[in-house]
Amino acid sequence: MAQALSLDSIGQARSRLELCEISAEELVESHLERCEKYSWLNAFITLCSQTALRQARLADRRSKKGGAIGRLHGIPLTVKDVIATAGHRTTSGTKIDAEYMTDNNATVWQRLQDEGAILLAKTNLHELAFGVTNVNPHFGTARNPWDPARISGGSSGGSAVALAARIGFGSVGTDTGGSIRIPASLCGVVGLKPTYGRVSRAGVTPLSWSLDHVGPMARTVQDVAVLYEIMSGHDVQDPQSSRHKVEKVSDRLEPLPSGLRLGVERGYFFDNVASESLEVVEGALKQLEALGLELVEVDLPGIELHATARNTIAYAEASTFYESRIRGQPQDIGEDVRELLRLGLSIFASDYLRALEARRVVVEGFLETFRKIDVLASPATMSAAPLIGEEKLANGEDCRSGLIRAAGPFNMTGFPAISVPCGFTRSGLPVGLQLAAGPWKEALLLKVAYAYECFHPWYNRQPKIDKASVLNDIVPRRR
Amino acid sequence: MAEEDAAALLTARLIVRDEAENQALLARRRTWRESMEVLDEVRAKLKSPLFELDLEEEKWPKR
Repeated sequence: MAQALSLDSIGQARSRLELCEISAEELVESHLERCEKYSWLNAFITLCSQTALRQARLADRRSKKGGAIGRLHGIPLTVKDVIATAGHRTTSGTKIDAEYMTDNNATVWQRLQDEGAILLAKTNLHELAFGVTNVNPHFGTARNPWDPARISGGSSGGSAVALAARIGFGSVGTDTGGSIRIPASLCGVVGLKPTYGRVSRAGVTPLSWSLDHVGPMARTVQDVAVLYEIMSGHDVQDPQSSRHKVEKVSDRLEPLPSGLRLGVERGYFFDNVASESLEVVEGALKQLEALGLELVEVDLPGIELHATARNTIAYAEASTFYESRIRGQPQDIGEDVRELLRLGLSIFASDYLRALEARRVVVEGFLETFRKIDVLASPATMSAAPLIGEEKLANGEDCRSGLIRAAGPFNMTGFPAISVPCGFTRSGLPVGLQLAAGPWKEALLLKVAYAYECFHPWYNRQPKIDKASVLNDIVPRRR
Repeated sequence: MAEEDAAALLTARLIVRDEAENQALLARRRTWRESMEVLDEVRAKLKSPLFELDLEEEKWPKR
């Protein structure tokens, strides 16, 4: 029962709930069972079992009464633990906020809850969302369900692990340099980083205010579209929130518009990609071409400036936000994050401003290129998941830079980008295809991703989650 | 470069007790600082001003 109930997409689960084939309580119970069974994957910081069951019973009572119900009525979701949820702690993956509680929901969670979603758990992340491995010294390393000896990617690693392990139907992640798309790619799920300002950040712990984004993660493109539609739109509580109209897309994913131009930039995005990942991504490009997209080789003027500028902005802004913490309680922050925050404090104002100038140049270059194409395709990461503790990726590149390389430019520019599974390496590790579009073109992006997914429904493949391979490293941890 | 890095740490009040940690930070800062050279000529590539103060009346917040 638990296995069967965990496999459905949001649409399938909603149908079964409406037909009374299952109850919300049974659905939540089955997912909680899986949370327990796979607790050693370290996907969660806080399980919300009691409230989830209470909400599920309420949902069942409401269904019996009849009347209007939300689009996510009875659907269990997880939320990255930087997103405030009333009544549960929000740790931001750090010891310094381990007991932080608030009475308010982040806008993004409030919107999902208003549609009937049930909070199953708060997911693990790289400390302060400032890293891409999800090796967390306080709450444990989130393990990749496809090979638990490997990283999940981060920083929204717990969210991706949960989805790959068939726990929850969707999750809310955040993305400052790829933190939704990187774990989505490494764990074989779908993750969308919408346009900057599209989804409210009110109630979400900041990292770098000009690079931070909030977005949906799920097993299928259709589910991501449903969550995206609900969570998007203007919010007076977030001064950077946009009033740009949100196009309805979840029930309009077909047909794929004709005459689309698919850009491919072979320099920055395809340089030194691990051979097996490259093979898989090239295959996906051919399939997109077969779907009617015209492949166009493009340049991205200014792309060479991106990495340094992005790092400088992220370090400086994060250090500004956390200055009192890094000075007052450095011993409570993990070594890798502590070093980055200290580096940020040492950055001169002139360097930060030069990075902002570079950012403007990169945005201008991207706008120029996206006038010639509809969507840009690339690998989401430069290799599949490395082993936990490995400093280099399969292509020999430093782990951090290789995982951020393809994703980061879209935080700098604020353009929307999605990672969608596009196949597996020979050893069975997922590979993600990144698709990006111009500002506010999420609907187009989702349509292209959906067309690809229909052609190749990789979500049907599930990991055989094997504890034996990592049994020796697992030390019981007190939650 | 090393002098500039040390000065930066001092300015940022970042000298900590653990010497190994100071050295690790300095090494990381040096790597970052070297990467900044790619931005040396960036201002010449700007097509629009970095900062625009838009004070048009129609953009004032509504009462």
